[in-house]
Amino acid sequence: MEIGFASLAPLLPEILVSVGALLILILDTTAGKQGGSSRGYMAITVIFLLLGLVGAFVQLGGQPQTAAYVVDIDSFSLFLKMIIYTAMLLTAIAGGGYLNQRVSGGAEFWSSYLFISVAMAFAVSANNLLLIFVAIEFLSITSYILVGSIREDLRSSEAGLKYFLYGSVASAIMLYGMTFMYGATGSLNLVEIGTVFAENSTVHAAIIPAVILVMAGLGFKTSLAPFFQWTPDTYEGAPTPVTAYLSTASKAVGFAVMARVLLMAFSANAEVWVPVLGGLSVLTMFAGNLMALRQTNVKRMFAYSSIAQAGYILLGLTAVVNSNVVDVMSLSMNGLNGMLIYLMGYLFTNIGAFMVVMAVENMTGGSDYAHFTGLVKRSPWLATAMLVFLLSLVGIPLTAGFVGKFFVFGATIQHQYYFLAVMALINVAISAFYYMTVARIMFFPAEDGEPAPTIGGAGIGVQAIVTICVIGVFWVGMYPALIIEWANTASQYLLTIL
Amino acid sequence: MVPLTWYLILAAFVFSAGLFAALGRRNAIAVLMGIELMLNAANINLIAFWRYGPSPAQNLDGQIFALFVIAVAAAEVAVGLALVISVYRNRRTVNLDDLDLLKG
Repeated sequence: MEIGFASLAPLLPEILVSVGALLILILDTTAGKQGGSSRGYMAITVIFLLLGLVGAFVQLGGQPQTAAYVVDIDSFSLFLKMIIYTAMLLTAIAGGGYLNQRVSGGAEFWSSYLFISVAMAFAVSANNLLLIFVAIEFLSITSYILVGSIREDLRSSEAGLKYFLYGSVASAIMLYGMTFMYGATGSLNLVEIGTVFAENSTVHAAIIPAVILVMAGLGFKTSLAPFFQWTPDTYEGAPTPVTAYLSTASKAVGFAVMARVLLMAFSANAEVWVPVLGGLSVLTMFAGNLMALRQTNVKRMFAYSSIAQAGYILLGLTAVVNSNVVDVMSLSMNGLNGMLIYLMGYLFTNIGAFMVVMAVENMTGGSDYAHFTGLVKRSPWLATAMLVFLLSLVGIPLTAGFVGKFFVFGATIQHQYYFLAVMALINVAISAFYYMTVARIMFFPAEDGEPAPTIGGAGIGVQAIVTICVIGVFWVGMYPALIIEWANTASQYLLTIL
Repeated sequence: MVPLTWYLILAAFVFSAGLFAALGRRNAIAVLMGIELMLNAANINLIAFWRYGPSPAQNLDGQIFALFVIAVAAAEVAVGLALVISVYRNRRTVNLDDLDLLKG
């Protein structure tokens, strides 16, 4: 096997982003004792993320290709890359000021931030167990650093350590599962593994342990039910912009890798993993929603809400169609495209919501429900935007959340998983209660409740990004044709790959 | 030659011991050691599967994977110890039961 420079050309966007990360580190070593300006590093980060996003757009129209034998540049990975780069870009612009004030070591932070984007881009494109493991570890290890990056803050370092301990146990379990996939098939390539599992029934004993162990690792990344304990602690303690990307981009990566592993390596054994996914998804929805009901901190409430949302997203993968039985091209809902559309809508919704939380933290010094009391008087636009995001999380028509839920629940019903659909609808009803509680205290504060004193402004960057997120929510909600077309192409490609 | 099953049983034992340490111990360093055991159990598996695979001389996938796992484990320990030290500086403890600022 020979790997020439020409075969690396499809990786140009990722190479550029890595160059940006190295550039920041080099600039910092030449900057002297004072260290360079964090704002400058943030600008470099934004420029290179923009290059990555443009690269993904340019490649979108092209033919699927494989770089260096292990990286698939296809419509599926490009759709995910757009989600990743958009999420990282929005978070960097809005959260830059907040981070530069608090984080010690601007250069380390921003170069890790770019490296995380590269790691996520590789994780969603990997067609090989080795690259999947390395990319996910790369993503996780750098995320541990960013979560604990406010060194003086007790909460940030505690969140970092907890995330690290849960995360490394989960990835060790996932790795152990991958060794069985390798042992049973003698290959690390997902397509080859899938072929062996489909044709050779003597190795079927390895399938159940492998699926369960790998799902444990990926379920951790996407905060599914039995593995979500780290989520509230980490989301609450981490710097809010880091929380924003953990809950959107990092979660999207987990789902994408899950889809790739299940649909490529275990596509012939759907009867094993579909019940597992269905059970996990019901558990996750109930756990997230019931725990969210009794929170008093908005950031922590959103952590539980993101657990519940992961349950809805997982429904899409549960209800994925079998491409050997039906003609995927003729279906408008194949489950997988619901998952992708949901992730795209969720990106704008959740980043917007966390950016409002961050603005409130800047203005009042905290994110408890008390700090949100009467937000409409302090900042009418942020309160209105937050209302839009909350409505989208519930799934009110005209918002992104509705379109995502429509496709995911629609696929569930089409597949005649009525039990799952009913459970999901019950959960949507429960979730409306706590989302609307936040809306109520923002707009109609109780008489005796004194609004928290204002100690700072929101900042123009945050306002701009929140506006973009509101536009994004309505764009996916009202004119989803383009997103649906991309998601259809991406999902049909992955479903018919074998 | 020693049969493959023996290696798999050894790996399963090491993995279980590591998982037990990672879930049961309250000291962050002990948990870290448990995680190392789990990764090394996976390494035993990988090397055993490679050696007993169809063509160990041509196809080195398992060995390469094990090398990568060793490198990743080193990076993980470096970051993990850094986080443990940063918590210890703030609190003077690495007992996980004492890390209770974030809960609910």
